[in-house]
Amino acid sequence: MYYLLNRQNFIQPILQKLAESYQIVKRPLLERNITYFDTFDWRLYKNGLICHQQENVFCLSSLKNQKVISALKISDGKSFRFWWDFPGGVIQERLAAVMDIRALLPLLTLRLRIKPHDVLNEDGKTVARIILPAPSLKGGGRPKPRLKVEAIRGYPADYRRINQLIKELGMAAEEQPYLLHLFAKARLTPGGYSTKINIQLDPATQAREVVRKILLQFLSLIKLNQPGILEDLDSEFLHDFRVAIRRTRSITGQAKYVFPSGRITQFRRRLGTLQKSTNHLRDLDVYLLRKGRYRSILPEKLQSGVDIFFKSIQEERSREQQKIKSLLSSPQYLKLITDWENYLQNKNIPSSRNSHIEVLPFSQKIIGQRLQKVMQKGNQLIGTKPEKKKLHELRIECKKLRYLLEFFSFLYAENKISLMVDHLKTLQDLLGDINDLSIQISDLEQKFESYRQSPEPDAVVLAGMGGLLTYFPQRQQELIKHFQETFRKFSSPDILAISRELFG
Amino acid sequence: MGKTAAVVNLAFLASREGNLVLLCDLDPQGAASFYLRIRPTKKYRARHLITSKGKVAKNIKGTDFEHLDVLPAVLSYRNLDILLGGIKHSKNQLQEVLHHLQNEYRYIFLDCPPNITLVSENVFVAANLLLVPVIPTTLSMLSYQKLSNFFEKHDYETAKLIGFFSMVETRKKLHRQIISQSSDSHLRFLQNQIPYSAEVERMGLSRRPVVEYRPHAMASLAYERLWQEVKAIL
Repeated sequence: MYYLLNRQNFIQPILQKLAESYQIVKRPLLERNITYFDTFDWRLYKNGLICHQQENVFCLSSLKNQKVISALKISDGKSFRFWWDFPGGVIQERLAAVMDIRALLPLLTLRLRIKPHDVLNEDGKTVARIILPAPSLKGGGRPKPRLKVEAIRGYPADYRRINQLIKELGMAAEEQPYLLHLFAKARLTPGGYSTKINIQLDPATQAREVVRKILLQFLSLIKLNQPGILEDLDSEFLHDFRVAIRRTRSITGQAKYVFPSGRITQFRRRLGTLQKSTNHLRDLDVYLLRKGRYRSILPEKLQSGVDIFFKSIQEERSREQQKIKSLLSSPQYLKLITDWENYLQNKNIPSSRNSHIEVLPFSQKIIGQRLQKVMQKGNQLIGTKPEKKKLHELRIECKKLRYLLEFFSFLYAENKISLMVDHLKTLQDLLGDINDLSIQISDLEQKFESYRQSPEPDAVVLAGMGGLLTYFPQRQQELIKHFQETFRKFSSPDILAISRELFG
Repeated sequence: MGKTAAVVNLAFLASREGNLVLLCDLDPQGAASFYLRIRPTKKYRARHLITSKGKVAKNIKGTDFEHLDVLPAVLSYRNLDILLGGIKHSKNQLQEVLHHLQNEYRYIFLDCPPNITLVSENVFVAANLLLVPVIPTTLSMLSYQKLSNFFEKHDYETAKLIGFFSMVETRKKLHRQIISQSSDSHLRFLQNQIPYSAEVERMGLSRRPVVEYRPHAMASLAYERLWQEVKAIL
């Protein structure tokens, strides 16, 4: 059982009280460091888990009751970043389910100077231990000490009695997980990172105010993800960074005349250039993330070809990562971010045509228009064999619509907007997969050609790439066959009725 | 012959490496339990060991040392043979009990009564390795020989059986003679020996493993080497 003490010296009365019934023996001081880990977006915390490493033992525990789910002895120098770095077993299984492709990052390191006391019965036998660490955080911060009464197997009565004696001193057993206290002391907000828009404003708020708030949230996401890209922690930093830029460009393009269009066009262009320069790195990341899938598509004999091919992709990625690192440290990039921030923070920007319109009718208008475009483009493809180019155009329209629905969702009934988003998402997933395959086919064709013309092309690599180039178009055709049905579901009378109700 | 001292020290050394270790004291005299200051729970009886396997775990007690637990002996263990005699598959009972505990503990040490009884035969079945402490004297060698013959006659795995010289006093000619002759015998011995030591005898007073409170004593170093050798065999 644990007790949170307000001060270190609260231990004395406890030991005095216990000494009335037991013999208390002081043990030598121990020093321990414990490092806690989670992903950047708190996936473990959000799933009720915590993991920590103390000396050479890595532990996965439940956040609620702090019970160890599984522990792992680590050999010297071994470190784990992704779930697949762990040996097969409970830890790997549980982490895989929550971490997906994110890296495990150190959250905080707790330094403990532990003063253990043994509680002995009349036989001189230890029946429990009182463990009081003096904690401090690496990098500053002094959390409250947390006293632990450690049970010894086979002495439950003594354990109960000791806890009773402590409670008689007015102490209450810890209720909140200690880790939450540590987070607070380390100025961490657990679960604090999210890519979702979090805005609650009155529907009568002026459009510019709402758009400005949304844009500031995106800017904050751009800034939050930048260090992870520089340090190359995992591929999701770049992904979230790019999504925030894309959303910024999307809303500034769709919410027209909220800001004067001249400056906004400039910023959109500068952000567009930034976005484009990260395209290649993202494409390579996507390749690498799909390695397992690509391997599984091919017969075993050709899989080694994929491995060699991916080795060259990995090398290319390392070079590209260096380029992006320089880009994000460059004065031009820093100036863009500062300029954009200053612009958004500036309250004296001249008004524009839509600046002072109430956000509800404004959003209804732009969502309604976008929805109409989606319907038009989609309906044109019904009853025909859709061209890939047309599907791509529809995909772009869907994406714009999706962003608008998410930006302004706080203005509408949650169940209705979610239903629309769910159907739209299914359609987008299909269109996205079709488009991804187009990109992969053209990219792989290029890579195939350049590899074929290299000095000593490996036959197995060529065969592996050839295998993928046969599979991808087949798969794409299969997906295209599903388009009609998926679009019909999205444009069903039910969904249209909801959209009329919400957006007029 | 240093049987209990050996099992207590070896179990402690195993636990000190971070392994969860259980020491089952099967000797009704309860010397191993005494050495580690463990008293059995009042309601624990010998029949629980045989008939209600679930209760065994409840009677395990933590020692003063991290990772080392003890299932203490009770005086009624003296009736274990009678109890075992009255049931079917009487030689496999202990193996079943230990089967339940195997997931929890990396090593389980059994301190066996020093004679050939049904209880010992349960140990012969259940254990992966049987360490026989042998004082380098004629009688002690004879006992080991008899045990070995018993194994052969009753079809127990003789490969499990391995002796080690204990309470060795190299100043005694007889001890030296018997040890040197042992290499010609068909009986197996570990290379490391435990010397006679007053420190080990004092374990009864300190009630702690000698390797814990006098880690640099001759006997402690010998136990350490013995454990390394045993571990390699396991």
